[in-house]
Amino acid sequence: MTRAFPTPASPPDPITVDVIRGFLETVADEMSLTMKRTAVTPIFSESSDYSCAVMDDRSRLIAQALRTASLPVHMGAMKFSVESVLSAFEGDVHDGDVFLVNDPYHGGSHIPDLTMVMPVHHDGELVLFPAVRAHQMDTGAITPGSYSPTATEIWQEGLRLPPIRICDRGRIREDLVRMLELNTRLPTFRGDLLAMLAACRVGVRRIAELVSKYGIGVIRTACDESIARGVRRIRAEIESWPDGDYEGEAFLDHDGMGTTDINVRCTLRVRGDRLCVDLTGSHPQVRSYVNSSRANTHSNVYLAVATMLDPEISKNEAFFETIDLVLPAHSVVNADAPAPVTACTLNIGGEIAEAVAYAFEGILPERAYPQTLKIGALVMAFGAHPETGELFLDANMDSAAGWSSAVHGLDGWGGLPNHYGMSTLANAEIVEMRFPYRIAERELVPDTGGAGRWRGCCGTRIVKQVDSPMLLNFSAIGRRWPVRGMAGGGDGSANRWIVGCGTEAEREEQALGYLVPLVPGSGFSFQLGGGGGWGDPFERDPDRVLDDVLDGYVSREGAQRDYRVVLTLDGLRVDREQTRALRSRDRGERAR
Amino acid sequence: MQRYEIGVDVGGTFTDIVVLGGERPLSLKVPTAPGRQAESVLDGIAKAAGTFGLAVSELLARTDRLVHGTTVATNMMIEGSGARVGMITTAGFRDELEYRRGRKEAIYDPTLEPPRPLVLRRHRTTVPERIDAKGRVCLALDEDAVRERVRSLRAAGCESLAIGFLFSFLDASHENRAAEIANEEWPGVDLSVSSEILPQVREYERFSTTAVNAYVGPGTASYLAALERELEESGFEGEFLVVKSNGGVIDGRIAGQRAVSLLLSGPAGGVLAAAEILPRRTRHGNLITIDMGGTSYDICLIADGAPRITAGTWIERHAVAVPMFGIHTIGAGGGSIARVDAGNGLHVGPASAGSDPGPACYGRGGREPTVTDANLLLGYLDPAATFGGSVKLDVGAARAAIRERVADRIGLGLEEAAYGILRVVNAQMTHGIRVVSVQQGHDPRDFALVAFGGNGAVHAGRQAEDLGIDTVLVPRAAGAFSALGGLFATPRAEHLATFVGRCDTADPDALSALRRALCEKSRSLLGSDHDLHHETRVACHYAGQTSEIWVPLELTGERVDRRALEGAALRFHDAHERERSFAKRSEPVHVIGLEVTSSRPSPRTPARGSSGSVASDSKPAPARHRDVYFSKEDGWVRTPIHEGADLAPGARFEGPAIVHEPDSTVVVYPGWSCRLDASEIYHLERSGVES
Repeated sequence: MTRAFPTPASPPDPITVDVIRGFLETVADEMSLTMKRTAVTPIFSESSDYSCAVMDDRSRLIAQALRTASLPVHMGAMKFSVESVLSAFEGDVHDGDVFLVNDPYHGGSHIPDLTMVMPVHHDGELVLFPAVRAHQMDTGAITPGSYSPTATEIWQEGLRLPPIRICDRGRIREDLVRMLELNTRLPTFRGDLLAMLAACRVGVRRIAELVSKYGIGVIRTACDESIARGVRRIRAEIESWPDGDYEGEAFLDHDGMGTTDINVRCTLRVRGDRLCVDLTGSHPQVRSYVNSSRANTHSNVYLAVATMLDPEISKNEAFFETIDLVLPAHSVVNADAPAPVTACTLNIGGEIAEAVAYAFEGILPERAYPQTLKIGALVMAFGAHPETGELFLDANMDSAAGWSSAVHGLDGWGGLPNHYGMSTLANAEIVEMRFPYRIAERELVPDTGGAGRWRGCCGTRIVKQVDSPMLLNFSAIGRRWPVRGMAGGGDGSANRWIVGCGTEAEREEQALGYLVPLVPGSGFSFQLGGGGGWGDPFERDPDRVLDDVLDGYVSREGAQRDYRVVLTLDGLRVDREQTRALRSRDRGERAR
Repeated sequence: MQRYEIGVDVGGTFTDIVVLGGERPLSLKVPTAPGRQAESVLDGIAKAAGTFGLAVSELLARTDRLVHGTTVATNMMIEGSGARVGMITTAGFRDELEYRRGRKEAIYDPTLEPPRPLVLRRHRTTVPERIDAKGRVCLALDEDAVRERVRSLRAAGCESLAIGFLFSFLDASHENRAAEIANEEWPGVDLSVSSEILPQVREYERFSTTAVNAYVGPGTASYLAALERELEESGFEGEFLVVKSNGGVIDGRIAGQRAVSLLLSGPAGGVLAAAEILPRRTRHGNLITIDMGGTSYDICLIADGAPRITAGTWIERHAVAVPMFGIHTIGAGGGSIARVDAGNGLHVGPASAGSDPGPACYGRGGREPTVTDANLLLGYLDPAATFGGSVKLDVGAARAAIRERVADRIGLGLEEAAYGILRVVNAQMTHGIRVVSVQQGHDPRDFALVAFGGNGAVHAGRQAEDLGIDTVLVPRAAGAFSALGGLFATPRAEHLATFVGRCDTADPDALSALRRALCEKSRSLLGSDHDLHHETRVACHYAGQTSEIWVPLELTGERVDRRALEGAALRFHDAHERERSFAKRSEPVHVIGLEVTSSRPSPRTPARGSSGSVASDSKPAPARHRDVYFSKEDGWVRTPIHEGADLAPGARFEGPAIVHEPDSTVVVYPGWSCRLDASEIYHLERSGVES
């Protein structure tokens, strides 16, 4: 049995700090791997919509999974869940206890994201909290999948959980698990809950090993020093930026209930080594589920700022300590209970990150990159499975591809913005084996990437044909407000949301698809927008435009229209003379 | 007349040759000529022939088998020098290879570059056809479209073709027909068909594996053909075999068609040698091999003599989903660069100084401090050693680099800073070993470490201490050890098929039929005249899971029956509990795939030997002493230094001590002892432990 060491007065040597930080990041990765392997729903096992992290007894974010599945939109928000567990159970947290929370007004992001927190004790002292935040496919609410566009109160969005003790000193509280099971439409809930528990237990076990090796005192001070290092690095970068106020604004098309052009305004105030992100001027809170919870707003701001910094800086509490956040009360970025919030992790969360990125265009234009997924809400398809008669529910995680912008020196690529790079598009074959539809197309669409000296990645068209009656919920956004280009680059294309394809009922949804009936033989077709371009498209190397045409990212017409690049008749070479003439003529015109 | 067998392992720096058949095994090395592997192989053979006093043609004429581990396919991936691939796929799915399932390896870094494309979009074409999730044809193959695509890809200068259609693992008829048409339109085309390469669900992984095969196939095939031609012209008439990523060997004449299965051919040799030799010559069947070179650190777990096999990995950021040794690689090597960030944190790697300019101590203009510089400064490496046979190591340059770029910035003394570099890199390696052990449900304390590579045995003692491992085994000549591994490899073929069902309800006869078909495929590769041994495995999962575990399906005779399926289900529950912390024993176990591994016995297995068979232990006198820094507490310690050449089997001494072999260094840490056994393997043991 190892005794706890008294806290040393001075921090451990710098190397021990690195070793412990690396260890804790590995712990989070191991938790994440456990979750992926054990979960039973494709949203986890195929698409990795969950994240793992380690917090301390002051609910500070110490380490997060780096090399395995993790969603930045979870990471900044998780500490708030630990905070609420600690305040609810102060003095009553025991070895073997496990807590669960989802309520957005108790440190959650939105109701489907369940956060499980398990304390690590040593000699009766609380040390660290490994935690998993995982998006459960169904947590009740008016509609399967728990994205309820008609909800006007949080109670209509599903079962709210303040922090509850799901395991009491090592024993699962079956009564609570049964209650939770009763409040979801899916039989898989228990399996996924067990997966979260397995992940937490791995975390606890591994942290216990660390404690027995170094003792609590050394670990605590190593955590302090890790955070302090992050603080120093972030401050050093902020200090290199010119003092001033920088503004950015992004818009969400609508809330599905008649409010349109919902803005998020961001002012970055840089003063020496201080940064304040002020969202004052953002839209007042709205009726529907696009409002953002406090935790979710933090996540989106921090992920947007982290994207502007050296990626090597550890994603820990340092972000909270260095960046002041001003959130206007009763606003769409800081909603008051009981406003509904379920869509917020995607949008308006995406617009929050966008507004921050647009404001950064004034500070670091080369790198400013909107980390946004303009999908509106998870696209939920559900119905009775033709073979089993049971409810099936698909979040269309195979379909959310688009909006990947260019930065200075690099075309947008890969079909998804970086922050979703560890959550994976489901394979069409897995989707079709599970759900009664057929994917007719999932391909990049030419001329949809924002034009620029560096081109935005093309958007995607996804077409699904339905084999069995089902209903579809989605939020048609990104039509009026696609992803903006940077530094003179063009915007990405607008989203298009078409239902009833192949039938007389075919139509383009303008705002909300809610309980849209799809009959066998019909289908839906979403064209998801491209990323924004970077810089003046007339400055794009004509040979790269030719490559784009040969590869079908840009059409021949698009080359001339958007880039003023003329190809030879056979389409295999650039007509340099005509290109030069056209570019200089139109540059001149533009100057006038 | 004396008959011979030759093992060849081509590494980045040296090509190792082992010849069995003489009075004792002959091992030697020649420098690897970059980009001209075949030349290096023939150079090595010529040198070996010379040693025997034979002409090359005489040695080759008397050689029954030549087994080759090659990095030719891997290098094409790394250098981007593979073929120009054309792809034909199902209409609507042109971009699966480009989406890569949305993967981005740096989620906060928008400047992350995309991977080098396997197939340019202009060469990814589609044809109307469709098979659904039940294996039914719902749109017939448009054969004219296939013809047109093949012609246009050929005209565009493509050098190989990949064909991948949706659900071809359920019904391969469309892919097969497209392949026939391709052969008609383009006789002799180098063709990779997804239902042959990887008949498994998940189109991205299947298409990517198929495209990788098409990418490295032509180059690998022409390399192997050229080498074989040269060998034959020099009189070789024996079997020419190539080591596969999973440690089996395959006929060199057909290996090029499945080049995707050779991507780990190089590192597989060492793992294979460890798995074949060490359990027979030592008391250790549970091993973790580590191979530390200049830029990377490869780790593989061997449980009970069997190396872990994984169902796939990412190679140069492309999915490759064929079974291979589960070699986990981290970016930590001798050339890994240490630097201090603005927040005073010390980082080591993954950036590497490589071999050019290399570590600061190479004196080739490298200014960045590396792991090798730290090892040199602290006395682990021989300051009198030369690099590449001529360049003397420059301790002063190592000191200057560490002082300027680490010690002064972080506020530590020179030794402490150098030692800090080692602590950080050692911790990374320890984490890496945890990934293959703890994360897979194995307790590292049940394993011995096996260290290869120039640097592996410098650090291995530290990983052993971190993980509670008591024994580190170091083959004296690691390169030769890898080359030898291939000679013990089993001629083997693996065939996969999709099978969707449940252990409790599946039709055993359907499985039997499927299994028979797979065995038949193996016979066509390995030859039906041989006595083949077939092992059957099934991929199992609980409802909803998409990550399977492969478990053996144990048969009595040739038929699958209910009992066999029940046994597989039980093994799955156990494996799930071991690897994933829980089991749901009351739930049905689903099956998604069937695999048959067929092998014929290797003509050679290592002799069993006892490591204690040396007549007597000896206490060799060290060649000299040197001050070595093992910890901050102890500071510099006067340490005995042994030259490997002076040590004979039976040598035994206590740590601290260091042994210099011609291309590697063995560090015996304080509290450890070292013994060289009769099989030329160093046993490092924690004091009080005997192996």
